Amino acid sequence: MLKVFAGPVPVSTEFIDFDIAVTVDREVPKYGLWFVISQNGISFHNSGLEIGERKWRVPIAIDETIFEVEGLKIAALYGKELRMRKFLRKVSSMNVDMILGYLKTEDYNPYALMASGWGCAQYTGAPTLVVNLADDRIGYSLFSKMNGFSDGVQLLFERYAIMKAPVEKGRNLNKRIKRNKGLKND
Amino acid sequence: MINKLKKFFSSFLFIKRTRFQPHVSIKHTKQGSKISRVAAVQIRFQAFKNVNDFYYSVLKNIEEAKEQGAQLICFPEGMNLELQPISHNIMSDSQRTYISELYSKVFMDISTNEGVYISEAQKWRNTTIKSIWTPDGHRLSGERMNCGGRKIGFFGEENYFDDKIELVLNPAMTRAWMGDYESFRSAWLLSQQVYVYAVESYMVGNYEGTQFFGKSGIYGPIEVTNSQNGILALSKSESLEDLIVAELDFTRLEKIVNLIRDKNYDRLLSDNT
Repeated sequence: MLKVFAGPVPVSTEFIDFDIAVTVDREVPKYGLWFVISQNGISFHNSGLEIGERKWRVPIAIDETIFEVEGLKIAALYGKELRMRKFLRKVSSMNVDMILGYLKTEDYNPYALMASGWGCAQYTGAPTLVVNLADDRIGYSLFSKMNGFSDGVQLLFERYAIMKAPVEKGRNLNKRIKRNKGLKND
Repeated sequence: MINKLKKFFSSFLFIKRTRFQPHVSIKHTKQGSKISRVAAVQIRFQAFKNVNDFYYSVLKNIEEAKEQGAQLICFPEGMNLELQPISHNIMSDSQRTYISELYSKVFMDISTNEGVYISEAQKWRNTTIKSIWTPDGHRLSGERMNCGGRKIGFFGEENYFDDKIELVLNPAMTRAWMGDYESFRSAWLLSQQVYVYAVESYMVGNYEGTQFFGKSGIYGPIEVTNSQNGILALSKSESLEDLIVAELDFTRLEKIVNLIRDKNYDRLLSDNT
């Protein structure tokens, strides 16, 4: 299981142990692996250094949407991409481990989240974390593929959360976590 | 009493037409208007002892749907099993063919006489034969078709968006039902991801000791439904009979599709890239 923190950076200090984090805050901590999502795009930071980004525009190639994170492939999609079946099929064919989505809606609508996040998880089979900007509120949701034990809705529009995404962690990531813990303990 | 008389006459006329008039005479058709109002019939499985009872049961549902203005009525998968006296798996091909012909005559006759489009799906060994019966007595088969002024497809294909399909039909029969989210998994989700209207009708009840469940529904993209939930009509129960009807606004759907369609994505997703 991949432990993911989603929420404001100050709150993350309550949780000492997570593998990757997702936030909309601009100030990124000097430790850990962070995805920062905004209305313009998404950037990926390792120990405070920005090492990758995707602007929210039509990609020239599908590879542009994928971040290689310590042995994991994480796709970053926005808006209508989360509901484009053909697009999702291409992303899925790249063997992604997880999908990060950004969705802007006028109001909070759980059905819009279901259509985008839950639907994406059902179609691709990859756990999907959606950052939803609804009016001026931010909510984090996590969806996974439905099975006999779960309806696939792990988390719906929470202000912050630590969640376990059903992702097999790569060997590299395990090493990285140990180093991060060392940094935090210093 | 009135019902009994009605049943007798409808059966009598059906037998007369199928035995003495092999080519159906078209009494009336309503092909001028485009399909805009659809119905999904949720059937609880029952084994019929004769074709007349089956005929009357189908007719009753059609009449009820017609009363509510439906032009296309979607029946679930596997209704031909209701006519089979023994298990489908142990029947010979000639027995299956005989039942299938009888079953088809019922739908052809009713669609012609009632002037409606009827969708049904027969089980044939491990496959399903999906068809639409038109008011002029024609049977349309295949994964996609032009019917009643609409581009209609059956659930299962992928390129609905490219082919500009407007309405997808899903006649279904499933034993795995894991709660209400199951309703969202097939036709609802397809509707959200390829921007089409979708009609899903389930066979429920017990067939040969196996319980079948399902909640039939009529769906559209969330943007075209007033309640913003993608649901135009939904059955009340996953185990009882039901009939649901909804109006489909194809102009509104077209506007949304035009907004979503993006040539840059089309280029990215073309098979050459």
